[in-house]
Amino acid sequence: MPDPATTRPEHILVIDDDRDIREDLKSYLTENGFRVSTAENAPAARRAIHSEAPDLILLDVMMPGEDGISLCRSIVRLTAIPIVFISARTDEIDRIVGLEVGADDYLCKPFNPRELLARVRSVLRRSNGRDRDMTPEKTRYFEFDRWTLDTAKRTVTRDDGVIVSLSTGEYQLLMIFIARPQIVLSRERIVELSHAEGADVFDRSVDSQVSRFRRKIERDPRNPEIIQTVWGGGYVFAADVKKL
Amino acid sequence: MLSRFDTLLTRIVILVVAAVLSTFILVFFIVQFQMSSRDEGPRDALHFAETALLELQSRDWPEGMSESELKQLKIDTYFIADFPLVGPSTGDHHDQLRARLGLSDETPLGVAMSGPGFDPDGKVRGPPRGGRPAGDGPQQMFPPGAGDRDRPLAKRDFNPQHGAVVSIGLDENRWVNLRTELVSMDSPRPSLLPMIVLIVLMIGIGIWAAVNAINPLRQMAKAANMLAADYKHEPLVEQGPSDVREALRAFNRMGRRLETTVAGQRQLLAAIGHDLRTPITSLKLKVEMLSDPNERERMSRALSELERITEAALAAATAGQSDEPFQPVDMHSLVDSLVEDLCDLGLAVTFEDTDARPIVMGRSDELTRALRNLVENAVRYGDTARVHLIERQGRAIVTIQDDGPGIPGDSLERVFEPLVRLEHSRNRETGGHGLGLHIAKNLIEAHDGRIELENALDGGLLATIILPLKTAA
Repeated sequence: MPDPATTRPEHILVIDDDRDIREDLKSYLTENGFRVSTAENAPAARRAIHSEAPDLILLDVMMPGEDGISLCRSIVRLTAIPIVFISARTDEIDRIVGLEVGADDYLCKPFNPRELLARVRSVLRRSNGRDRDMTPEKTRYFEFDRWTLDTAKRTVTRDDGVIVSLSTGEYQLLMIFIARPQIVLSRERIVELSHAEGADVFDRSVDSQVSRFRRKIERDPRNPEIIQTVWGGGYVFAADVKKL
Repeated sequence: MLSRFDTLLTRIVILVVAAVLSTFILVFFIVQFQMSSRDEGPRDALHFAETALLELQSRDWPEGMSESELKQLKIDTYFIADFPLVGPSTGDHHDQLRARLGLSDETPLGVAMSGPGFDPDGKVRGPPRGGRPAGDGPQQMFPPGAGDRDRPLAKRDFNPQHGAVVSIGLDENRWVNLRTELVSMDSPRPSLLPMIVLIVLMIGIGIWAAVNAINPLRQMAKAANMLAADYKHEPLVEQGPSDVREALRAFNRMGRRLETTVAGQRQLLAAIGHDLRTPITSLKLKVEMLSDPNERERMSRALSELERITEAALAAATAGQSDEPFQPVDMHSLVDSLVEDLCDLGLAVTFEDTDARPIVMGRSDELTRALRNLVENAVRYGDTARVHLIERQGRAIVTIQDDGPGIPGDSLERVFEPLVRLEHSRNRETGGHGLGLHIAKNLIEAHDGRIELENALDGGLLATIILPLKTAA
């Protein structure tokens, strides 16, 4: 299903040393309405970018010769092209490094093709600025109230150093709120945003999700200070958010 | 009870002590025997007599002496009378005495030794035989009890005492008579104290030697246990006697070999896992583009299985190998979030909420993975999983109970070994890959915790994760 808002298909550059992956990604993305070119290593990628700048780059981390991390660094320095890493390594450290060198997202092989599609579309939307309240988010750490959120490790740490675990749903909820502090979000908008973020699982009603989240995060869940209920409107993330 | 003491150590100690003690006793008797055959005693008694006679001669043979003077000279009796205590005789002792005292050869001189092994004439003989008729010779003049002939032979032999009796004729009617005190022939009976000290010392040395000899063996046992637990080999110091060194060296070689082999296998497994990820990704993309939805569904399922096994193998290869630092982890939120996520995936899991908020030190992703494996296992074999969290005695305890058939008692430990599946059909519908519990165990043990499996009284399997609480800093 091609993105209805585009007049011409968006251009994706796939950089991977594995020929099968290149070809498969090219077929799959082409079938889903993108224009795809490929490169098997860093020099070929530079030539491709030089001849025609893509709208998004899918970049393998592990490549012979110059690796994806180094290539990503130089692309980010010179252009504003969004980059999504794909890697066969799940090590947290890789994800952290990947996001730190300026990638927009990070996917682990073997990824679900549909998830890849959702992430690619989400990153493209953000970089095009079509979602005005979806600013591209490259910050790793956020601070709010007495909490620190690490988006690379996907953990929340209390000010006493204790890691408090969030379920997938709770984490997605937090990501939606933290990008939009002090903005009232209706339940419908929250559901919409969660789908746009590529979340498969968000069936639970927003209310019960918020209430679960409050039990973990709020000092007094019955008298919430961080996520407040707006009468007749929805919810607002009332805490100050500091990017680190 | 007794077998607890039947160690190599006690055996060596007993052996060493027995050997040392028997040697000691043997040596003791040999020394006793030799000492008793020495003739120092008579010479000592004669020496006293000689000294006293010189003194008396210098005083020109006084008629009497005070008690204290006699005592000082080690003289028992001294008197001048018209009869000799010992009749004149000849011998080596006589010549010596004559020379020292400057007596002429004509001066009558009688010397007699008293005590066992001596004849009245002072000649050393073999051990005295009992039943010698008393009353002949000067011997009868000995005051009763002065000699020790009447004492039992063995006792006398053990502690013989001797005295010397000398009579010198100054003229026909004037005899100097002198009898020395009884002198022990050799050193007094060996006293008990040094013997005990010696024995204690020897037992001590024996134990020390035995402990030293056993130590390498104990070290080896410890290292072997460690090796068995997690294939980590800490090289033993190769010291001690050459055969022990050789054993230690062999053990070190084996340990290193085992360690590198296992590490190599882990790496191999991890490498294969990594390398499989790319083709699986490629296949997933291809399957996604299949036009036949049925075909797509079937292949997608097979691929998911392949992916699951690959990831499990990778996790098994890397479980507990992470060097990420530990952080305080809130167990309640961890269990709660995991159960929530698993419910969203359609698993029948319940978390019976409590007020317990235990904090442990660890890596939250690993703890989640371990718990997840146990819960998935419970759901796979027991349909539902009920998860509890409690805090007790400095420990966080998570229990997972299912409604399944449990595990035969003799297999409770075996299921932690990799690739062990208890069901006989390797049916993929129900069967896992046989790595889940193994991974969970490795991960929990890397957190200084443990997993226990037992068959619950009301049926089903009860898995318990026990983790030490974070200690208050």
